[in-house]
Amino acid sequence: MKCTYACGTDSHLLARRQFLGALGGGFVVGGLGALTQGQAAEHLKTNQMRVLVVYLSGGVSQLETWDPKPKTDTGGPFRAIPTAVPGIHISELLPHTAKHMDKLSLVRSINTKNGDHGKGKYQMVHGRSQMPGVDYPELGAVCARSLERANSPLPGFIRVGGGGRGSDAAYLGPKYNSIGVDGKPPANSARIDSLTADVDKLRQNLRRKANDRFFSTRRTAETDVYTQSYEQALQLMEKRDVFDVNLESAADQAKYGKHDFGKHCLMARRLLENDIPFVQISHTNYDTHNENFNFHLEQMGEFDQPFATLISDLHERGMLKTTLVVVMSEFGRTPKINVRYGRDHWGTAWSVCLGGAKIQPGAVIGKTNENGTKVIDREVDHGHLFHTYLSALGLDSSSFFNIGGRELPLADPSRAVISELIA
Amino acid sequence: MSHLLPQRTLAFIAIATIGFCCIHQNLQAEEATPPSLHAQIDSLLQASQFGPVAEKIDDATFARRVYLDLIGRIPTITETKPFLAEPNPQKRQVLVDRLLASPDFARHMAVTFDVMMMERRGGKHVKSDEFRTYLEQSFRDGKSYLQLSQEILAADGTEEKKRPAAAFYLERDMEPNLLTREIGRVFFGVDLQCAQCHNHPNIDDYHQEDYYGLQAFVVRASLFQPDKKKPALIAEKAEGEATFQSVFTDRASMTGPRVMEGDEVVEAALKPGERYHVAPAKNVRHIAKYSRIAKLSAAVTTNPTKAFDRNIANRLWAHMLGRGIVHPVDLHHSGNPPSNPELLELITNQFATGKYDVKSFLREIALSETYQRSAQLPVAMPSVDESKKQLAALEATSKEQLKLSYAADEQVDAATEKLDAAFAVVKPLRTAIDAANKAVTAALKVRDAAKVKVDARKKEIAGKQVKVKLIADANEKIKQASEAIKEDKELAATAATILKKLAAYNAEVVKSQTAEKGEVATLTTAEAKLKTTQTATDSAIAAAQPAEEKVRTLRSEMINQRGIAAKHRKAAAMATQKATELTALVEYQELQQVIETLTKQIPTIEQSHLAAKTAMPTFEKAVADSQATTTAAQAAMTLAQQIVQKSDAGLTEQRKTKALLAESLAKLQEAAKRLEGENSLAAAQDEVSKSIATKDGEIAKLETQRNTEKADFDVKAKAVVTATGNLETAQANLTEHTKLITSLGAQLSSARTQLEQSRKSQTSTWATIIEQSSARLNAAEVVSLTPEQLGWSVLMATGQRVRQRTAEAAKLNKAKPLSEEDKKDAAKVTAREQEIDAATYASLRNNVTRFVQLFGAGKGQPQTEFFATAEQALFFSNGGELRSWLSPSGGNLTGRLNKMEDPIALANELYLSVFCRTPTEIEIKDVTNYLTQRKDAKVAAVQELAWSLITSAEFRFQY
Repeated sequence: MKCTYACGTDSHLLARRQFLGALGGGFVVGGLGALTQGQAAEHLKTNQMRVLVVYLSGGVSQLETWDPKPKTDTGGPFRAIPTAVPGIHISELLPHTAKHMDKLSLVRSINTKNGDHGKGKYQMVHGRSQMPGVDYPELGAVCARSLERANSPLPGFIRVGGGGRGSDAAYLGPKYNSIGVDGKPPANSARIDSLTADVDKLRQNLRRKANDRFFSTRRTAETDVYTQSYEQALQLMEKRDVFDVNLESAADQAKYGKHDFGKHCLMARRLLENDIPFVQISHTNYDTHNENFNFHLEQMGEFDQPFATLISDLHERGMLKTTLVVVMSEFGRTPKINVRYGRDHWGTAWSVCLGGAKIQPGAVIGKTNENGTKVIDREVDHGHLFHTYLSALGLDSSSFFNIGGRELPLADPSRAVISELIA
Repeated sequence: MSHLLPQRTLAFIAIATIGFCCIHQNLQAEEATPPSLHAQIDSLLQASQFGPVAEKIDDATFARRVYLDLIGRIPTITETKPFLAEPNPQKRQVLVDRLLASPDFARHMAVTFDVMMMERRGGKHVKSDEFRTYLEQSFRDGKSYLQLSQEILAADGTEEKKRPAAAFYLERDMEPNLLTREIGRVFFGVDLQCAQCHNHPNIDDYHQEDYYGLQAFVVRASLFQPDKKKPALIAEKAEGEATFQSVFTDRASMTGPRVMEGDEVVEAALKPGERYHVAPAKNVRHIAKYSRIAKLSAAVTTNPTKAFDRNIANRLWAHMLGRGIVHPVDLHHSGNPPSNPELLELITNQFATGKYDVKSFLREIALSETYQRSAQLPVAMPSVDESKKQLAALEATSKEQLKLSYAADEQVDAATEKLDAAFAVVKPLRTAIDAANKAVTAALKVRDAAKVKVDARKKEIAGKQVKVKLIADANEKIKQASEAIKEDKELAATAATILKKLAAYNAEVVKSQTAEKGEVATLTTAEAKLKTTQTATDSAIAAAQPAEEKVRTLRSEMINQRGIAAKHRKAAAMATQKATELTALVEYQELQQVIETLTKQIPTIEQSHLAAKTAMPTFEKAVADSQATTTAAQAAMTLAQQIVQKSDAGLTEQRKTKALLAESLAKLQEAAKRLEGENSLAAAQDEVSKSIATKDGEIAKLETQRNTEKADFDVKAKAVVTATGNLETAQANLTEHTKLITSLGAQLSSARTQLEQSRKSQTSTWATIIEQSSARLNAAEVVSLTPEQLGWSVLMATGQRVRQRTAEAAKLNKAKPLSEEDKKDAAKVTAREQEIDAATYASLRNNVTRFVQLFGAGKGQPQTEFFATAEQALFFSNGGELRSWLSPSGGNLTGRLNKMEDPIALANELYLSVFCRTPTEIEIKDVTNYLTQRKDAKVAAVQELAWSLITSAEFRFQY
């Protein structure tokens, strides 16, 4: 028998009806909102929410960060230090972050059963393992769509560093693909030199008039979305400064540091302040098969200060309540130290640090054994984490997207939220 | 002989001509019976039509639509103008035929089929361009869809010429699950994805048997590319089965290869050793004797199933109408029934009987009235009563069919149980075959080893025999020499040595031959053993045969049973769908009635309300008047009262005086009694008595006066009562009237609200009706242009193509000038034109690629979902591309517009170029006004006007 949520497009139809219903009642053509009041109100619930993902590329060691095992055969040379939360200790490589652990939480029981860079990254950003024949959207695209700002002209999914457009939205459509931002405003966002603002207004009015005429006989949800995109473009032109990190104060620039990661953290703050739903920054390279300890000493040294500054800033500005922060990697590193003082790929027992939004602060979920070689409590994987991220944003992670008559679940239906982590 | 040929040929021609005439006549006679497909489409639709139907489109809209659909771009002004002016009533058909004959048709079909089959994949193993060129050539050659599918599904990449056809497989890395999904979607119109792990939870018709039936065709194939520098090929093994287990129910089974709505392919079981032309080995492309990939292409093309035919007919329909009869086009199932099943059946059958010829099929669609409907729907509604009657019947049908489907579902369950039981019987038999096959493999190994030995021995013996021969020859010679030169002892000794050697080597040969005998015996034994194992396998296979057959039969029965259930579900869904559509139509009319009633009522209420409000002052005046009367009466009454009171007071005084007099008289009388005879007293008594009498007179007079006054007071008091009564009445009247006004006001506002709400609901119902009407082909669908259509259309509208073509022509004519002689040769001139066209196309393609990047969906994603981004709008608003195309030059749009002085002519040129239609009067006025407003900057103004049209919705969409 057929389930009620079937691909029969009742809900789709309803949405369309609601949309078209609005056409009768004083809907302003060419205006800002394509949403009815009701839909706008619905949006308000989640539209405060934002996400910052800090991706540590190559596979950061959990032992030199969130789950230190000092004085064991696997622990390495670094100590564990106390943090702002009594009882939680993290590696001494993160002294600044330690001061803000009361705003963050840890999941120390991740087992993704995978030690391949590509597959690991896929798991962590898609919340599912790669399967032939299927292409899932990334977390950023899922958030860009689910947290879409009805009236914002700004893109929903931004990667700081590099440029261009990603293709990470799969069936959600190119609108939700990531955009790479490197401190420059988006392409074509400056008005043509030869065109004054006044003349631009004139030609925009001509365009609106042509649309009104067309709409008097034929008008659909799609034609509205199209005409609205021009209004968004105009708004984006007004907001192109959002992407210029050099407009931040000299003091802030100094505080975050001159290196790329510092700059990217500051850029992330700027974007989040401008209500971009999803921002991803990354730090590389943690693939420390050789000299794990020297590398982590150096890398965490670069990571710690700007990251802690960012958390502190978000907190002070009251944004942490609405900003989910996740520090993730494709996997952790082996407890066993190899002959080159390195650690190898390890998906069996590792950690993620997260906080903000509806994440319970100062919590530790799960446990590894004495020397970190296996998970002994509350084992979870990328699927559970993905559900948890969405849930922390006030989204129903068990709900579906309706894409052209197809019902597609937001997250892997065989996994669930780590509910004790949601405040 | 040769001199006979011309005669024969002539005779043949004569016969052929007569024959042709006969055939032609016959054809004509027959043609009278079966009408053309487009006529059939129209009459079929007319028969099943209900609800409002859109008018036929005008010539301008038709031209734009048919250009976009058949050659992928809007017409240029030089194409539109003559078409609009053409008086021939058959001009639409002429245009369709001209477009279908143009090289642009093949090019557009190549793009369309590339996007449909590859969904913007490409470039990993086969360049997109190569695949597109292959498609273009196929359409140019008039290749049927059947042959195209056959080539694509049979391609293994080995043949250099046919390599592009392998793109479908290669670009999906020959990944079996990906291919299963894609073959299902692209060739059979079903997205079976979910059925990879379990029967589809939302779609009743998609089962694991279906998914794995398709997967079985490709499960043995893989990509073969040991050397990354060499092209990847497809290799296929002889082993591998499509087995599955549901993650929901744990039901495990397997299936042989079977396409949607087709029979399971029965294949001979081959034993190890007889399965390969080229056996698997490292860096060797294995070739199985029995190829399932070949079977797939055969299953699709030698005996194409209904599902295969239906899919492509529906997709081509969607290409033309903007929407499939089943929509989305890859979700054919009972819960998503066709908007018109008879129509789908008709076009499916006709496409197949029309030899799968895409061109003639599209032609028929383009000529139908159905295709030529406007997107504007008139308000014309069926009878409410009739619709309601139908609704009741539809509801009954839906219930009945659902009930039947539940019964059928039970049959499916029973059939599944039977199948699973039979499968359980087969399993051990298969295990036995596997074991027997293992024995064959082992025996093969032994046999092969023995054979290797025998072969090596044979080679060894042959080698030795060659040596023996050489020594024997030498021996013969030396023997002759030694006999001839008997005195040479050394020679004799050498001869003896050689003879000895000969014997020794001969002995070697004999030894080897003896060994060989043993080895041959071993080989013979091994062969016999192999034979035994093979026989054992054969009998194991034979033993399993009936059980296998039974499984296949039962599986096919189960699938049939599912088909029956699906048929009922589909009937129910169709009834429900039609009911939903009729409900909307009824709802619209009921709302219309409410609106009409209210529209009539409201003025009446308004009038009453107004009249009541107008009457208000009368009521207020009545109250005021009554109030005044009452006040006056009250004042009069008070006055009268005062007068009475004054009289009463006078009277009292008089009476008091009289009493004093009476008292005085009594006292006088008393005194007189005591003083008898006192005359003065008597006189006094008289005086007093007189006074008393006078007083009495006065009192009497006063009393009369007072009584009169009291009577007056009573009258006044009564007047007050009357006036007060009147006032109360007037006040009550006023209150009543005020209430009436309030109630009328409330009535009015409620009626107005109700009217507004009804209008709103009606608008929304109307939107639903439009959507449903275009779904059932009563009106055209409004769809966005594809990225390619948009790109080429912008290049046409701006005149960039003309500009580029002029440049290309100049370049070519300079590089390879045509001689005066050549210019007279029509063929050469045409060839040159085509050369110029090709060069123009090549140089403009990159621009279109930019549109694909911006407006197209991602690689491997369905390309039909519309989306719009600020990024796209910025590209149009501030991008250099459109700006440069709109900068005036030679023959391009703005160049032409700049030269025009008359604003009316300019508006005409602009609208015909961009919107492919003439402007309305008001549009001409707007253009004129704008040019006046910007008269100091005409060049810019013209660009702004053109920009505003190109960026408007009318340009972006098909309507």
